[in-house]
Amino acid sequence: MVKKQVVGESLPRPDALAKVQGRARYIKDMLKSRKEVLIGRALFPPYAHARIVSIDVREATCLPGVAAVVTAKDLPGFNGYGVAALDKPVLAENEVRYQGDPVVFVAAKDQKTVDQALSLISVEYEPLSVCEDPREALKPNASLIHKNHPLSKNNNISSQWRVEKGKAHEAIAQADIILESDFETQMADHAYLEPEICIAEPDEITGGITLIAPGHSPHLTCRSLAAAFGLPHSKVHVVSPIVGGSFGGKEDSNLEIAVMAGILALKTGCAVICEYTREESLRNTGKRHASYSHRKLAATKDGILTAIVADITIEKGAYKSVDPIPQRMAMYGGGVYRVPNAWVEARSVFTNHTYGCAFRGLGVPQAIFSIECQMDDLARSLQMDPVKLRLKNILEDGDQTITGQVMKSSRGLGLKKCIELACQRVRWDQPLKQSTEPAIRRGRGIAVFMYGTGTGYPNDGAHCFLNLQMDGSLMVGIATVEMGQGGLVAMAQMAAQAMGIAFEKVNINYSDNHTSPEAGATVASRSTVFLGNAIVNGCMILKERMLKCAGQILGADFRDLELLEGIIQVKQKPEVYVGLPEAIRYAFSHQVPLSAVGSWYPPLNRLDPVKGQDTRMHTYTFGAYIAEVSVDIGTGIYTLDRSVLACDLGKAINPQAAEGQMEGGVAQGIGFAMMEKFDWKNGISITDTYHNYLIPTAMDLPKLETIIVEESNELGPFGAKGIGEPPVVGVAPAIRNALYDALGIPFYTLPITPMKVLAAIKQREREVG
Amino acid sequence: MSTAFYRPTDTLEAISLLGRFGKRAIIVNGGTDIVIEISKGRLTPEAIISISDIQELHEISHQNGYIRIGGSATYYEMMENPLLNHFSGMIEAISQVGSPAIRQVATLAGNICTAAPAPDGCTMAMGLDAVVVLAGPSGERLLPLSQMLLGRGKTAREEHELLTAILLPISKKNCAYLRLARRRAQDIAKVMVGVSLELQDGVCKDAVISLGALNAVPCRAYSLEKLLKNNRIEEGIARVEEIFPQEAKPRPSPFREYKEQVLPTMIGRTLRKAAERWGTNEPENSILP
Repeated sequence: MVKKQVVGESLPRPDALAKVQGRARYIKDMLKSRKEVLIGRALFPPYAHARIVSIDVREATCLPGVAAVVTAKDLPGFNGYGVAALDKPVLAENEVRYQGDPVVFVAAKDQKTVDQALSLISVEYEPLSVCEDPREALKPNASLIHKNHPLSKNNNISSQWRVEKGKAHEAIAQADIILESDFETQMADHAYLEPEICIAEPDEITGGITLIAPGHSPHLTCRSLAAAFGLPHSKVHVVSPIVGGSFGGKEDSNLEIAVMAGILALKTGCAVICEYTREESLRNTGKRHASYSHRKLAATKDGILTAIVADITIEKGAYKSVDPIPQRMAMYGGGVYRVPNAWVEARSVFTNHTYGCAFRGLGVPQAIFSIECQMDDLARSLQMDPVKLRLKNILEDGDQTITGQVMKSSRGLGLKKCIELACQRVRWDQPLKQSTEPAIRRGRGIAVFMYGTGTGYPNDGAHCFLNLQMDGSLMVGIATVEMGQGGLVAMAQMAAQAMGIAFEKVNINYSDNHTSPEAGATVASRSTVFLGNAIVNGCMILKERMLKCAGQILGADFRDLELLEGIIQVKQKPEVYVGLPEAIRYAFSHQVPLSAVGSWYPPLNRLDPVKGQDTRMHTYTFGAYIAEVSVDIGTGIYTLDRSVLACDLGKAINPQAAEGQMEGGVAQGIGFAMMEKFDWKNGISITDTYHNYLIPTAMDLPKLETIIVEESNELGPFGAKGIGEPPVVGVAPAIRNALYDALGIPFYTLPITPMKVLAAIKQREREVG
Repeated sequence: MSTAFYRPTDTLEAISLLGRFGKRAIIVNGGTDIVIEISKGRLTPEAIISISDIQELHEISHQNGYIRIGGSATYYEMMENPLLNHFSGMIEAISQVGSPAIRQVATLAGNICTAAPAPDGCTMAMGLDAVVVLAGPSGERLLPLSQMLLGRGKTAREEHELLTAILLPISKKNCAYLRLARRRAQDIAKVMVGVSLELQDGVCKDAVISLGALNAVPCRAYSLEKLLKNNRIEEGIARVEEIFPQEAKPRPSPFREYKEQVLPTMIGRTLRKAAERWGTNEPENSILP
C-alpha cells in the first residue's frame, strides 16, 4: 500500500461548508433551541473617569419581568477579574476608570424589559480628570489611574522591559550615520463579525456553572473568572463553540460579557444570555495597543547597522489585560537584523481609555513598523536600494538577535528566500511603471519581518487527550479554539498522518475545559506547532501500544510493523496484516489503555532579566511584504495596486488554510495602515460604529498574492512554524515605504489617511515654494 | 405607545394617510437611513407609511423634455433603466451609493427628503437642475430641487405631501459626478460634485454645479456657473480650479480643512469629465430627442 500523505494537502475544513451554508451554530444560534433564557445587560457610565456618588436601582428592581439587578455590593465572589491580573472590576463600586466599566447588571425576561430597567436606574457621578495620553500619565505629577493596583504601585506603569546588548550609546556616538525619528501607531479594533456573547447556565447538580462563550482558551476563561463567581476552577465549565472571529480580542474582551452572564445566572438560578451591541463592543472592549517610539538607528557609510536605541511608550488603557507588549516591542526592536549594539526600553502606561489587549501580532506590528520605516530612511540617506540594504543586514545562520538568540537554519531560516521570491514576483529589479494620469504618482515599498512561534513564557507547553475508539477512529481532545483560522483541519490532518489512519477517522473535540487538558491558549501563532507536536506525541504513544498488540496477534516484532491507513502490516510484507480495530480490541481485553496524554514543551528559555537577553522563541516565521501604490496628488487618495506576501512557515500543514491566514492578515494590515482609527472626546470614543470606524472592504483590496516558503523547523510537527499572526506584521511599513517611494515624503504615524497624505503634499509645496 | 404600520398600494391612499397623521407619520421609502433612526429610538412616529408597494411610483418615463423618476424607484431600478443611460453622471452617483444591498432598496426621492448633508443621488440631481413633484390632497405642485432643501433634515415638503417624482431635464443630460471618500464602498463621501454642461464650439452655454458633503445640505455653486457661462470651457475650468466657491461653507469637522483643500480640484475634474463627454455620450439608437 502506498502511504497516503495527509499533511501538506489542502483538505476542506470541516467547518467551511456548514459556515457558508449557514448551518454552523454560533452561540446566538443556540438561543433558538432554548426556552426560558433571561437577557442580561449592563449600565455603563457616560464618563471615562468619575467617582460614583450614588446608585439608585429601586425602580428598576420593582419593574415586572426583572429577575435581577446587581451592583458591586451584591457580588457573590471577588470583585475583579482579568487575564494577567484580577484588576478589572466585575462592577464598578466607587469609581469608573473608563467608559466600559459597568456599574449595574440587569437580567430580565426580554430585551425590552432589560432596556427599560436600565433606563430606570439613576447613578450620580462626580466627573474626574481624564487621562488620554500615556506620555502624560508618565509625568511625575500625574495622578494615579489605579490607587491600589495588584501589580503596579506608585506610578501608572503597567509593565516595562529593557533589552540591552553591547554598548549602544557608545556605538551611536561613533557612527557614520545616525537617523532619529518618532513613530506613532494607533489603537485599532479587531472588527470581528460576532460581538462578545455568552450563555451562562447554573448547574444545579454540581453547584457550578457552564459558560458557553467564545474565547481563545476555555481554561483561561475559567481561571480569569472563577474568583469572581466564588467557585473552584473545577466547577466552572467553559465551552467555546465555533467563534465568529477574534484575532486576539476574545482572549480577554469576551470576559466582560461572560462575567456578567455568569453573575446573573448565579443570582437568578436561570440561564442568561448577554451580548454586546456593536456600539458597546467598539467602546468597551480591548484594542491593539497604541505606541509612541523614539528611535535612533546607526550605521556605517556602507550600510552596516551598528546600533539601535529606542524608547517606547505604550498605551495600556484602563486595565492590564494582556500585557507583554513592552517585552515584545523591545525584543523585536531590532527587526530581522544583525545589530551588535542595542538599548531598547519599553513601558506600558495606564490611561482612561479602553484597555489594550491581544491583537494579531501582539506588539510586533508596532515594533516592525518603526524599524522597517527607518530602514527605508537609511536606504535613502545612503542612496542604496532598500532591498540591498536589508540583505546586507538580515539575520543568517549563527547570527544573534538583539536578545542574544542565535539563529539556526535547522529551525527554518527562510528570510532571504522570502525576500528574493517576493522581489522576483514584482520584478523589483525593474523600475516601477508610472501612470499616464498627470495627478498619479506610483511607488513600491518593502518590509521584512520575523515572528516567533509560541508565547515565550516559561509555562508554555501543550497537552491533549487521545482516545482510540473500538472502530479504529480517534478522538482528540484539545483546548484549541476554532475561530476561523483552520485549526480543526490542521489538527486532524496531523493526527491522521501521525497515527496512520484516514483523515475522516479523526475527530477533534475542541475548546472545552472539561474534556481537554490545560494547554495554553489559541494565541501566539502556537497551536499548529505546540498542539500539533502534542498530538504527534500522543499518537506515537498509542501507535506503539497498538503495534505491540498487533505484533502479538501476528507473532511479529512490533518494530517490523507499520500502521498505514488503519492497517497494521509487516514492513515489505503487506500480505501479513491486521486491521487497527482488531488490535484495539485486543488491547482493550489485554489491559492496554486506549487513551493517552500527548505533550510537548519547547526548549527551556534562558533568561537574563536585567538585560532582556533570552532564547524565548524556539523558531521564527519569516516574511517579506511588497506593496505598490498609486497616489492622487490632487486629493491624497491612494490605492494599493499590488500586494505580495512571502512567508516562510516551515511547512504548510494545509496550504489553503495557510493562504487564508496570509490573506486575512494582510487585509487587516491594510486597514491598520490606511484607515483604522478611534476618535475621542474626553475619554469617550466617538468612533462606535462601522460607519465611522472604517475597515477595508473587498473593493479596497487588490488581489492578495501569497507565496509560501517552507524551510523546515526541526522541532515543528512535520517541520511547521506558526502562521496565524505573522502576515499582518509587515503591511503597514511596506505601504508607508511605497508612499515614500511615490511621493518622496516619509510618514511616521499611522494610519496614513488621504487627509494626512494631502496635508503632507501641500506642506511640501509650501516649503518648496 | 404602539406604532401603526401601513403599506399603501396607490398614491392617493398614501396621501390620505399623510392627511390623517401629518407630522406624526414617517414615510419609509427604502428605509436605509430612516429605519436606523427609528430602531435607535431617535424617531418615534405614530405611524410608519412604507410606500415601496406603490407600483406607479416605481415608473421611470420620458415626459415633455424630462425624464420622470417615480418617487419609489430604487437606485437599482434607475441603474437598470435605459432612459437613464444618457445621464452618465447620475449613474456614476447612484452606483456608488452604499453597497449593492442598499442600492436594491434605497431611492432617490428618499435621498432628497432625508435632506442629509452628503447624499450622492440628491447632489447629482441638483447638478441636473432637477424638479421635484409634490402631491398633496389638493393636487400636485412642482418645485426646483434647489428650493426643496431648506436645511439639515428640513425640506419644503408639507407634512401632508408626498414626493411622487423627480424630473430630470433632458437638456442637462451631459453630466458628470465625482465623489471623494476614504474607501471605495460604504463610506459617506467627504466631497461630492455633480455638474451638467452644455457646450457649443468649445464655449460653455450653460453649466450647473452642485456640491455635496460641505454645507448642511447640497448647494449650487452659482458663482462658478456664472464664471463658466459664455467662456471657452478650458479657460473657464482653469479659472474655476483656482477659486473656492463662496457658496460652499464646510461645517466644522475634522475633515473641514481637507474639504477646503480638495474642493476646487474636484470641481475642476468633474467639469473636465463632463466637457470631455460632450458629444460623445450618445448611446446608439438613442430613444431621447
